[in-house]
Amino acid sequence: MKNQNDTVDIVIIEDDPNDAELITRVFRKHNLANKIILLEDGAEALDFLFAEGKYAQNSTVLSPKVVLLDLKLPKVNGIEVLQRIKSDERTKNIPVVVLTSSSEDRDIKAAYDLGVNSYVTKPIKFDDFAQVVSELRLYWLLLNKPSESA
Amino acid sequence: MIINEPIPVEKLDPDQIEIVIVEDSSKVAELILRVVRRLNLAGRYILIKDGGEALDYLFAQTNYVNAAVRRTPRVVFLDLKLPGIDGLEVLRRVKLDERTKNLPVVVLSSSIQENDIKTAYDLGVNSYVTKPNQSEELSSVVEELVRYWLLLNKMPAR
Amino acid sequence: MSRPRQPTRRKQVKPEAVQQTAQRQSLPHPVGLVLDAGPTLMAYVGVDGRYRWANQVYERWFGKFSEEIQGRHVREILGEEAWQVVRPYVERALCGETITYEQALPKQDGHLRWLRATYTPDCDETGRIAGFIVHAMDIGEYKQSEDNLLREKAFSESAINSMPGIFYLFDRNGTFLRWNHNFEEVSGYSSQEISAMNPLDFFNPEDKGIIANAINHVFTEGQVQVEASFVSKSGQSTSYYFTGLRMFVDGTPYLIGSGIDLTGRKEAEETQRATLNILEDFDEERQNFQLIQKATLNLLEDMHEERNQLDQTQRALLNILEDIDVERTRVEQAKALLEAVNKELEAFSYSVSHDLRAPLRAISGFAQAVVEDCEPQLDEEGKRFLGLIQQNAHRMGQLIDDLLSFSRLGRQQLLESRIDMEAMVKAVFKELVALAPDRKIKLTVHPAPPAHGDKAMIRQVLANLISNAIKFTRPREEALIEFGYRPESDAKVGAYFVKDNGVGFDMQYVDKLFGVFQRLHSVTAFEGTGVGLALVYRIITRHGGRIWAEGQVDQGATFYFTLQEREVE
Repeated sequence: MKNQNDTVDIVIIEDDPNDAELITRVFRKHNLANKIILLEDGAEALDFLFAEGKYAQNSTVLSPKVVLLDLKLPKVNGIEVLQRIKSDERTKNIPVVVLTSSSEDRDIKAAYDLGVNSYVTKPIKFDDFAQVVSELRLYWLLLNKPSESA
Repeated sequence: MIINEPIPVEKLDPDQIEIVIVEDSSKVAELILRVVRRLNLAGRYILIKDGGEALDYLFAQTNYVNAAVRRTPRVVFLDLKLPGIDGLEVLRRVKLDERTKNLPVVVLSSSIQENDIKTAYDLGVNSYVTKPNQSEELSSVVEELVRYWLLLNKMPAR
Repeated sequence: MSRPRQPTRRKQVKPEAVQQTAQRQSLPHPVGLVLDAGPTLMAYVGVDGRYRWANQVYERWFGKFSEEIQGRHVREILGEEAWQVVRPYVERALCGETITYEQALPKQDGHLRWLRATYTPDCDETGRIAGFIVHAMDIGEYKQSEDNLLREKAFSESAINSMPGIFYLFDRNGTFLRWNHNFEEVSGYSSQEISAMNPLDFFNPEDKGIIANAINHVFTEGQVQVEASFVSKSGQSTSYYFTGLRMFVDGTPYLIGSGIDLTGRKEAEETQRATLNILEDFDEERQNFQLIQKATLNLLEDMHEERNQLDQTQRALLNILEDIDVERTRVEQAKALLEAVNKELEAFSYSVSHDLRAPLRAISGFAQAVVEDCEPQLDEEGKRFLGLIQQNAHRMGQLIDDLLSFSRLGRQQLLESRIDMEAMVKAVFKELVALAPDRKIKLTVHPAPPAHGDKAMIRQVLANLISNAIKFTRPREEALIEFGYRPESDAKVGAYFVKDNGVGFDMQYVDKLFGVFQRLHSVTAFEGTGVGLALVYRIITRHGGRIWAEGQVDQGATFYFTLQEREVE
């Protein structure tokens, strides 16, 4: 799934393979042309976003339209990833939406403190889940205008 | 997206201002208000036409000093062209102040200038949305915005 | 089981009240459950003193449904007596003050119960008060312990006051916390004055150093005895023998002690010395005096006895005070433990249900994905199978919800009130029958006495039983359901019953009826998770009652239950 020198539209950072697949489906269903990249843990996510580690050969200019970020990630957790994204000049303007099962106040506040653009909880039932992802797509891919130079 | 359905009242805190609209054009304001009212949010929004006044409200100062600032709204829709203090300056101050930096701010502007867009993101805007020219389109954009930030987006307990 | 909408009954109910009720019924899960789960009473009262909303716990306490509360003034719901008690607090809340108080209020059944309530005023953006929020909890059991503690304290009061000497208790800063009547009498100071004085104030300047040292010694080494002149308000000096013992209350050290008047002894000693001087030249008299000395020694020994007795009294007092402290600590520890256990169970149940639901989402999701993406490859059977997969996933989700309620039930506090059973059955039936509009279902309500129990739980019992009756009468043209009361001939308590003309069941399997997951009919014939009756059984048992059933295949079934095997009203 390496995109070298290509632009990426959507970055999904999600460790649960079922959720990852279901989320990706919703995006693909509406627009096959969207470039989606799926990362399964926090460390890989950071490598990708900063063109380090196994993604060192990528160009660093990515500017995805949105990053969907789960909080419960192996290796480096979601809050840390968020913190790295929002504190680095190169990436801080990328819209990041936390999409997680946690509705704990502590997590919500931590995310906002770090500058998250939006915080959305994953619904328990599948129908609602699909609906939420669909609305996320509608908002962040169609409605929101990202900055061209990330 | 089901349009025309009012937002279920129980999803909102009672008596809480949910939306702050900072917009100086009466035409646009009227349109936004119509949508907001149709979604059953009468009494849940406040419309402010001037940048300075918007800051007064959000910081509970001057005219709004008695307003209990426990009222943290769920979203601020912010136009950029405003009399008094302009939108970007309002954004800058809101995002710098501890009391208000976590407020979701959505710029709703007719400007498509990359300058404005980049500056807004630099200042920490949550989302930047351009105003369509046609009123029906603007109506549905506003509706989508309200639904997203009131129903989908989560905020910490007040 | 989701709560059906509650329809309005009377035209007098204000529109906002209806809206409020309807709102709560359709609150997203689990908000509605959380608000109504208890044990906290919650309500919102407008600035006009009228209720705008109350949670179920509140309803249960006052024995009124929400339509009867909303729009009504607090005075109407609480009754005149209780209103006079809470009125000052209400007024303060409406002036913008957040206030917490503890009061005994008469409950619906007339009994006084202790409540701790907090009123939080609600201001709008102009600073105007719109109303106030009520949060209250029944603290009856804690008050009980507090009462016991107080009564014990009273006992020690009399013990302290009956002492011959003076008694005192003060902290490191020298603030007096307890003293006896004698102390006031001997020192000549009033209670008010003593509470503001320091121990050193009762001594002459030349003695203050010794006393200060002695006090320090108590706090560092544990105890001390010292003789000094005790100075009263009028300036009178009296020889006293003081003791001090260090004791800990809640980890803070205090000095507790007593003093006895040595005047007698001192006088005796002085007289003795003076006399000796005089008798220096007189041998015989001196011998006599030696006898007197011996007598004096005996006297002193008696004083010593008294001193010992004082020490013993003091120690006994200390024990009493320690016991009180232990009791208080024990109650608090029990409280804390209970809270902790409940929290853990809740968290456990929540995370278990959460973890169980996650794969379900995937199952439903991927089944849907197959339906969408593989449409051309799917035949009718394939589509049907996928539908079944989704149905079962849905069913499992329901099971998880039911089990969660079931487990939660065990931890809930029972909030008793008087229940109009006839009315409740009719209300429950009305809601349930609305869900099956295409069927002919007739309910007959026979006269039944009111019951005592937890309103919400009993409502659940009736809802489950009636719902079952409706379900199992589906094959009938006209479903006939009856509710009534059958007085028992020999027992003190009669039984309520729900009877139907449905498919009944084989009495052979009657023992299985109330087990969790037990069903006597196939799922295809009659849907259900099999938890419903187990829940009912649990509720009835918690009320101290019994539930049993009688039925015959194809001849319908009757479910009987009693509540609290005690005197019938």
